This record gives sequence, structure tokens and C-alpha cells, in this order.
Amino acid sequence: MNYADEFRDPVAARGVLAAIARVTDEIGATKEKPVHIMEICGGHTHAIFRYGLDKLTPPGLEFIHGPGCPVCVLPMSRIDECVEIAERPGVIMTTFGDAMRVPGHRKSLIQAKADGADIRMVYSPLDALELARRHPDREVVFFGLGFETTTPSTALTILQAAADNQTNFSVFCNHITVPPPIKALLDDPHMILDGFVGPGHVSMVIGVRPYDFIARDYGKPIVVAGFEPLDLLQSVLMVLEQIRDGRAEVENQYSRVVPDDGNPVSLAACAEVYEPRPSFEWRGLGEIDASGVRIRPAYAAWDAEVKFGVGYGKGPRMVAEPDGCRCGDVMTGRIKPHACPQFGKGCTPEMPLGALMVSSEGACAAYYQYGGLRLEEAL
Amino acid sequence: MGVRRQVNVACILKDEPIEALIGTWSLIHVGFAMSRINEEEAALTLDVLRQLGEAQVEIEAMQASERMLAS
Ligand code: SF4
Repeated sequence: MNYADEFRDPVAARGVLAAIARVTDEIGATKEKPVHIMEICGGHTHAIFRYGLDKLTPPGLEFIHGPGCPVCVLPMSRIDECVEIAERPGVIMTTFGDAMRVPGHRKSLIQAKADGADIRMVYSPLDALELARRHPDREVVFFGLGFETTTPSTALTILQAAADNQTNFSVFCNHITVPPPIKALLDDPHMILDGFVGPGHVSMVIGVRPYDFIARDYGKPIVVAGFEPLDLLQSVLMVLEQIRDGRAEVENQYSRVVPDDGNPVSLAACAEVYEPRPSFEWRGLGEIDASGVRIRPAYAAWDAEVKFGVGYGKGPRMVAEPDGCRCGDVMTGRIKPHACPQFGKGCTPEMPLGALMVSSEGACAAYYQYGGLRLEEAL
Repeated sequence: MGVRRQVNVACILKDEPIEALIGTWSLIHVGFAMSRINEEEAALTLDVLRQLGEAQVEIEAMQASERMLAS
């Protein structure tokens, strides 16, 4: 048992796929009138393409790829601000690797690094804190981004820095939360979604109750899912069964990792360090109320926005995206990635124009990498 | 194979000594152990999946048999 291989068993997969085909049929969904299921999380988008699940499931079932890829939804203005901090004298900017190539208005972090800024990739915010210990004469900033899965790690690192009084360390906080954009999508009058596959790793922190509103207020099913192919298929089956039976519930397929109430230690650390922002900008989706967090005044000494005087409310904000980029339409499920005029031309994983092409969790990169283009053309 | 690395286990420790974690599986994310794998829940999920798989094998065998008899 290693809790991965068991969830890739081909015999079981055949069984679940047959059941998915059966239930899709019972719902009466067809290629012309498909049932639309959104996988919220970029990790799920990646897994769907990596394992070709979209090719194995019946034509009456269509996946809509949700906004749950943190680097994909990071607005250009935040990259600009990160570059601005990184270019200050004495600063060491630290970041997860996948943020390096996200385009900003002026440049990406990788371009800033080529231009001489001291930008380093780290695996963990704890490594950034360690760097601050080793370089007391420098200002070490960690580019904190990610959903609820990652927010506790920066909260705990800030708490550690505070306990150690490590004052040459700070976090440029871009952490965001999953439920508000889902609500925004559900409020969109053009919304076509019939159900959701919920983000498993976010849920191991926040639990399953924050999704209650999806079932209760909008009458849509949601099943919190793991990341192995069988996890995903079983979750899709559970969503379809709810649709067939006319139920709208929050179910938990990933109970081996996700306790219904989440992780209390992580939640307490986040509540101690962070408070909601009135609103936060999402690339392609615009400003969404209470969808991001910022560092509380009590921890201002570790807040890069305070320390360097950049960020929300400090100067004009540019929200424009590059010309011809349809990231927003892809993200809301209005078009498939290859329908964007830039797809594979002006925009490739090597030279991304839009952020959905940057991370392997982005819908455009997944399409590009795993031949979604060829498949769609063949149809 | 694999990687050795120090991880922070604050999030998964209940009221117990750290040794209680030895031999357990956890989900690690950016240097932090975020969730302990619940082995009973894993077994339950796998049971459901196996049953679906076995049922399908049986259905396919029945269908093959029917086709054979019909031909
Ligand atoms: S192909 Fe590039 S520009 Fe077009 S939607 Fe995808 S990421 Fe955005």
C-alpha cells in the first residue's frame, strides 16, 4: 500500500468508466446536449489530460476547466509589484519555480533575474526563512501565492520568523481562496455548469463545509476529489449520480486525506496571521470580493507590501491583459483553449502570453502538452 | 529512490509525542505535513472501486457469453 498505485488499477477503472457511461446515458446527456462538470482545481485539470480521462469518458460528458491554478489567476499587476520589489537594492526575492515565467506588464521574474535581480527558486517558504538567517545583511522576500493548500505554510513561516525575531524576512502575500470565485462563476448569467469536482488539497485544510452554499443556494452537486485517476473518475461518477437522482450535496470522495472539518492547526495559523482583503484581482476574472487575504497589522514587520510600500491601493492599477488573449473566456468555460487565436502561435509554454500557458496546471498548457489540439481537430 | 527532507509536522500532531508519527503516511506540501492518511477511509474507498471493477468484469463476461451463444 502506498496510497497511489491502488488508485490507478485498470480493472477498477474499467468498472468506473462503464458506470460513468451508464449514468450519463440515464441522465440523457449527449454530445449535442452534454452535462457540464467543472473541475475547479488545476491539479485535476492536469490529471485529466495526463491520463487522457477526457478521451475515455463518454461524449455526453464535458469537462470545464476551473480557475484553480494559482499562477494562472495571478494578475499582471502583482507580477509587476513583485518585480519592483525584487529590483530594489539588497533584496533577495524567493519564489516557487512555476511563478518565474508568468508574464507581467514589464517583465516576468525570469526576465528580471536575467536583468540582474537576485531571484531564487525555493521549494518551501521555510527555505526562504533559512536564507534570511544566512544573509542578515539582505532583505529576503518570499513571493507567497497559492490557495488554501499553501496559505498555512506561509502563515506558519511568518509565525516562525516572528518567534525568532527574524526581521529581514517578509512575505509578499498573494494568497487567494477558492469559494468566492466559484460563487462568482455561479452568479454569471451565462453559467452552464451542472456540477463540480471539488479541490482535494484545498479541502484538507478548509474541510468540506465551505462548499455548502454550492449545494444549498445553487442546487449544484460537488464532490471533493483526490488526484489519482481512479479518484477523479469515481468523483465524476458521484457527481453524475447526484444529477441523475436530482440531489445536490457536498460529498467527499477523498476522505483518506480530507477530514470534513479540515485541519484545525492550519486554520488557526491562517486566522492568526491573515485577514480577508476587501477584494482581490484575478487574471481573466477581475476583482472578486473577499477572495484574497493579507497579513494582519500585528505581523506588519513581515509584510513585504508594508515594508516596501507597494501593493493594493498604492498607485494606479492596470488591469489590461495582452491583446488577443482569451484567458478569461477559457477560464469561465466559454471557449476551449485552442479556440484562442494565440494558442500554439503567439502563446506556447516556452513563450507564454497568457498565464494559462505557464503552469502545467493551466488548461492551455495541459491542452498543448497532451495533444488536446489534435484530439479536438480529429473530432 | 526518493528524497530526504526535513518537514514541519505541526499541522498533523495531535496531543501525542512526535514518535507517534513513525510508520504513518502523510501528505507533504512545500515542506509541511498537511494531512495524515486515514487508512480506514482509504480501504473503504478502494472497496467501492474494486466492487465497480469486479461488477464490470462480470458484466463483460456475461455479454461475451451471450454474443457467443447468439453467433
Ligand atoms: S492560449 Fe495563451 S493567450 Fe490564449 S487563452 Fe490560453 S493562455 Fe491565454
